[in-house]
Amino acid sequence: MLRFLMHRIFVSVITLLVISYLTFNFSSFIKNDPVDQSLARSGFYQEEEGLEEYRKEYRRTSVEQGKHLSTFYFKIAPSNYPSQWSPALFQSEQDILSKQLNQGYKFESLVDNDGIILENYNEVKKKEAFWYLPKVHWYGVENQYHLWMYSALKFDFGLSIVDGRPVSEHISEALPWTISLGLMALLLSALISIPLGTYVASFRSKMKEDWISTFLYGIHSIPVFWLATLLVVFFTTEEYGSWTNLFPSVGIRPSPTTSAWYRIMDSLSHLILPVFCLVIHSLAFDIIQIKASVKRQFLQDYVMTTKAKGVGLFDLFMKHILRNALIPMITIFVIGIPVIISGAIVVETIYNIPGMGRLLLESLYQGDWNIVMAIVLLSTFVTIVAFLLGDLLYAWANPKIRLSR
Amino acid sequence: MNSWSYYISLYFLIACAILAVFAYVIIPDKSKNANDQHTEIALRSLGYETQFLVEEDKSSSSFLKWILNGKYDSPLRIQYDDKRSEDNQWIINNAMNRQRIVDQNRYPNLESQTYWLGTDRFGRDQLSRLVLGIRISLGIGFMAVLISLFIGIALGAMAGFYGGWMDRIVMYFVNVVWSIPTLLLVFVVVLALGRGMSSIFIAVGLTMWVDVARLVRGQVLSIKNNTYVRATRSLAYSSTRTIIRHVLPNIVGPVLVVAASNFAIAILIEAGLSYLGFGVQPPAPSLGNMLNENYGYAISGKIYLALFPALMIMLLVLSFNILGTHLRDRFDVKKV
Repeated sequence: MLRFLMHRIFVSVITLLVISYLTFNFSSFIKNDPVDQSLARSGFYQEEEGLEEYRKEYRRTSVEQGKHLSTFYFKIAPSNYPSQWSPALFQSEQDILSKQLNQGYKFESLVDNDGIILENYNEVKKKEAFWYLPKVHWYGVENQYHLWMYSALKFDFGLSIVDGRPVSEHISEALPWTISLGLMALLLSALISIPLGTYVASFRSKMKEDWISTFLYGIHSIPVFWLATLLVVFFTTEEYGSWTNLFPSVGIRPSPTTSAWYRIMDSLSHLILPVFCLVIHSLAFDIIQIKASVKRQFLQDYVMTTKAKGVGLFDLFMKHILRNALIPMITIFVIGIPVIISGAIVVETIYNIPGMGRLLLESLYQGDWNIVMAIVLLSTFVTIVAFLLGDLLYAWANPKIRLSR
Repeated sequence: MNSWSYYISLYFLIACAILAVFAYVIIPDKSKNANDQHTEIALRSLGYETQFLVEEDKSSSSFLKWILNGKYDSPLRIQYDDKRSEDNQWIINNAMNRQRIVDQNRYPNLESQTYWLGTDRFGRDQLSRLVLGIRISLGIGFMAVLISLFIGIALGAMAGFYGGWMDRIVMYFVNVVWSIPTLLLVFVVVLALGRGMSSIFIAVGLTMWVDVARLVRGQVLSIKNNTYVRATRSLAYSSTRTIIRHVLPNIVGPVLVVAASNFAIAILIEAGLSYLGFGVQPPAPSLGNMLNENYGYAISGKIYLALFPALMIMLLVLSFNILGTHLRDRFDVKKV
């Protein structure tokens, strides 16, 4: 058991590291220079006359944010590349320099002593060879990925590119909403689907079973976003009769003046419809899976034996079948976690809940990659931990695995 | 699952596929993306019928071209309620009750069109757009499934057949992709490649291959030690030949099962992305896109505008799910 546990934890950590590296590379999609953007927030713009001043400020910010460092522990580049760009070099200038270096020009002939590209580089540039051997540069821990990962472990994901607030602040504001939404949906669908799935599995008539399966697949096929929109239209407006206007309209505006109790109740009333959407979406799938796993147990010999011994149906379910059918159920709910994370993106956007999903979508629209990277890392972390937990529960519930190693 | 639901969904999907391939031949609005806008007849209800003056059809695109993309230069049309002729000119009243004078030589033809599913807020034919939406959904699903099958079968078969370090690396890779929530991965890939049709199916295909790879690996493992596979080895067949000619044909059934359920997922993801504005860009009529444009009208009593696209998504997804379940029962696939 311990060896199994250690192996699983090891694999999970490696997986997380690989994903964190992939996530970190999202920052290469950034079209705009992040240093430029953060300077623009504090009122500095790149203009013709104050270029010297701007470059000084750029160098300061760049060093402060560590943007001049290499992105990974090592870099393999042609040997005419410098090991590091100057912190005062704008990103646009880096692109120009890279283009010249790729054509085989010497780095020293393109820049001045400070490492900044010369204005007349086209006239003075020199070529030594047409191509260069690749050279490996080693940076150690002084690289952007390491620093990002290290601060991420301390729940510090840097500053938001758009409004300059810490990313962790954005996330800790959004996290409670998504956690309460996801947990409620997961618990409710588990509580409803286990008894219902077992009940459906006990049907003997083939006809009945077919109709129910088709019906369940029908429910499973409803797109979440469509269900969410329909519920908004029907239950928060008076369009289809006054009695349908049961729930408060979309959008949560927490006001600090009201009492805590009132605020909790108000949030709950806003969460009913979204939770309902998520539950409906995962419920049908869960019932189908549970039905299948319970049904498989029904065909086993021990069920016949237990029945022959005269054990009642309730005891048969609770003490024998459910226990054996539990193992696949664990997998079902663990797999449900990423589904709920994905569903939360859609539902939160439609219901205007200030949770992680909406934050992610807003950041994607605005190109706020620091937040996107943080959210992707966090949700993969949650998923991996859930899968790990699922494996452990699986081992706990199944003596074959528990006692094997 | 018994056979009636299976046959209904199978025939429904075949009908949709035919509809999708010959979409531009069937639909009334043959312009590119069915984007023939007549704002004067916006938001008309089901079965609305009206008349048009039509320009002479000088469309130069060849048959093969317009059957694929619609007519780039479809003839202009002018909507009218009543008209009278006066020295080589039409004097018409349109649906907004505005008078217009039109040259008879330029618009010689008359045409009447029935909008069976009504018109949207730009006065476009909903029916045409719905059919094109089905076409886009099926097309994206097809491409995504094709990509996922290609990667998944190749990696899964290699992992299962060779075993050892190859197996470990592939399964490791599968676990990494498996751990990222699908929609998140799709979002990131779409943003990296830029919004558009091709980036959706690449994104969805790149996320779904893990299911295929896991399944194919399991199936290959289970038949690897059968006598006929061993016989190929004693006949000194290369392993590539064994995999392609003898192993893969024997696992087609289970692969079809996972392809059907992946098709359903791909359609749902495409619709969701388009609904959120990250998918197919207007004016191309994707089903999710149409929902996004029209859901506001559910409040103003024109719920059918947003109902039919959603119903279509549901029916497509449901059919693929039923198909998958039936095939699963038939091929006796234990775990997908």
